[in-house]
Amino acid sequence: MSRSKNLAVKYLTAAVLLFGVMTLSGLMSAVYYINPDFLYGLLHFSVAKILHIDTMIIWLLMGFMGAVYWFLPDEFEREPTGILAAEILFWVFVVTVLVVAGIFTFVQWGPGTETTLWLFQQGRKYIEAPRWAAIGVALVMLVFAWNVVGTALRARRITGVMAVMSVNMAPLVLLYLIAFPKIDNMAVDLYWWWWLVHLWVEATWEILIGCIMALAMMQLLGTSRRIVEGWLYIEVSLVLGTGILGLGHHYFWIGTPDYWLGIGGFFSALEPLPLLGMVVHAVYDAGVHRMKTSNRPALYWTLAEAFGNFLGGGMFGFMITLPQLNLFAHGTQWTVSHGHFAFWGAYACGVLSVCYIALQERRRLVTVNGPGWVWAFVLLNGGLIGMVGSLLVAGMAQAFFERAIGGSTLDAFIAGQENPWFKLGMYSRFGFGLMFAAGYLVLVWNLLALGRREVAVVVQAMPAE
Amino acid sequence: MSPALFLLTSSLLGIMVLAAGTYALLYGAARFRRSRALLIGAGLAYAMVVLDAAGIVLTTPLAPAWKLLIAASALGYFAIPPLTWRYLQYTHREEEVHL
Repeated sequence: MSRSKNLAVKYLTAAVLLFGVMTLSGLMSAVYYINPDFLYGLLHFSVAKILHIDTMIIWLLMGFMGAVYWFLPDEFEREPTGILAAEILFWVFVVTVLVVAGIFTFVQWGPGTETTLWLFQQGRKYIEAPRWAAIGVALVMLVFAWNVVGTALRARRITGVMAVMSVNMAPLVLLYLIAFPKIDNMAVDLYWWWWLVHLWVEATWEILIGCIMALAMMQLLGTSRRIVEGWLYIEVSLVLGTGILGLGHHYFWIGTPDYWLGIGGFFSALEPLPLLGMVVHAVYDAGVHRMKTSNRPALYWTLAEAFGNFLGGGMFGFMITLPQLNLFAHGTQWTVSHGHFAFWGAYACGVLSVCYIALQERRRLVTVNGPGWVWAFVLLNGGLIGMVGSLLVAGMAQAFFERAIGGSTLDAFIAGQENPWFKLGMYSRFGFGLMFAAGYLVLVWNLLALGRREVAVVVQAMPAE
Repeated sequence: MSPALFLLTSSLLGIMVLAAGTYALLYGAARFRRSRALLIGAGLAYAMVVLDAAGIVLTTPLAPAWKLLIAASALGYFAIPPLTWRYLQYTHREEEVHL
């Protein structure tokens, strides 16, 4: 197996482990809502939440990188340029994540000084990592971009998928640089911060996962490159067309000019349109191949991606995206339910699909199937749907009682937190969170155990081929 | 906007997209299986989209521009599944020619 694929397996393994940390810290965060005294004096709620959302970003990023390193040698029929640097930086990345997790857990915060920004944390959501760690992440992204673009240049040939991915590397790296400057004006700070958060998630990441899924579909279903690339171009145009100015829906209440209300609402309302096409495409692909594939879990996770993206991003997003409604729903558990569903559908399912594709080749399995992955699939998706449903109920109660009726006063906030519907949502979110965590454990067991018994059969069968 | 209308409007928007997704799903399945029953199901799901959009336009306090966007979206939702399907058939036919 090539060095790139070995590196890919390391990245995917690290991603799955961080997925576990995200799940655990998410469960802890859920407990705080039920029992605010939980771990009082030991671990603040905000720290558990930081661990939850930051590991979410990092595990997905590592998953994407693993997927790219997995497909890169197949695309160019050679090892990526700078593979040694990539191998070294994998460990730099891992150590950085561990040290930052340690800082968040044991140091947690510091005074509002430059020292804190450099050594402990920067305080801005999703990019709390201290500057030294942010430099490390930027370096990793830079080398990742070099691996992709440099390999294409060295190979003196490029495919459509890799061309899109290569162009995407520039904004992927450049946008992350917004993690560095310290801006005193909060409105200005948030304005640029959303460039990183939104444009990474709804532009560069969308394109990256689009490329990854295009490569996965070719391997999984044998779909021709012409078809896959044609659809990739359409998807990229539609996602960028609606997603870039969809940024405006984050600018509603942060001190930006009023025209963002119209721009953000309009382009966000268009976002379900490409997702609808994706649903039809998923039905077509599943139908053409009659759900027949040598790797059922990978196919099912791919289909889950299409439907999850539509429901989480399209439906749940559309409920709260128009400014008149967002005024009430903004920043409630309603937004949280949309965020959970959208991230799960758009990205997590895709990364899990690639994990199974990599596992099949690495263990030389003729087929990947069995009851284990089905249990993981049902528990994870069932748990997730239960969680977002619970958060939706809690968020609606918050938006209704605290915002629309109460007028967002402190008393209304307290009344909203005490509301029986809100509490019910929080309890059931925790219950479904346990179901999701059980699904994670089954997934890990399945990834570790899958095909161990069949290996002998496969190896025996190979000389005859 | 009253609290009750806020919840109603938001729910109608969510149901509209959900109905559109159901329409797309059933339309795809109907074309694939050449099933009249599924096609009727798709038609019913799209009727739900139209009814829902009409409900939003007629009963909610959204600004007129947003209501126009909702009505246009409802029309767009109708066109996307057949257009996508036709393009999928076209690309796959091309593939067969090349093979």
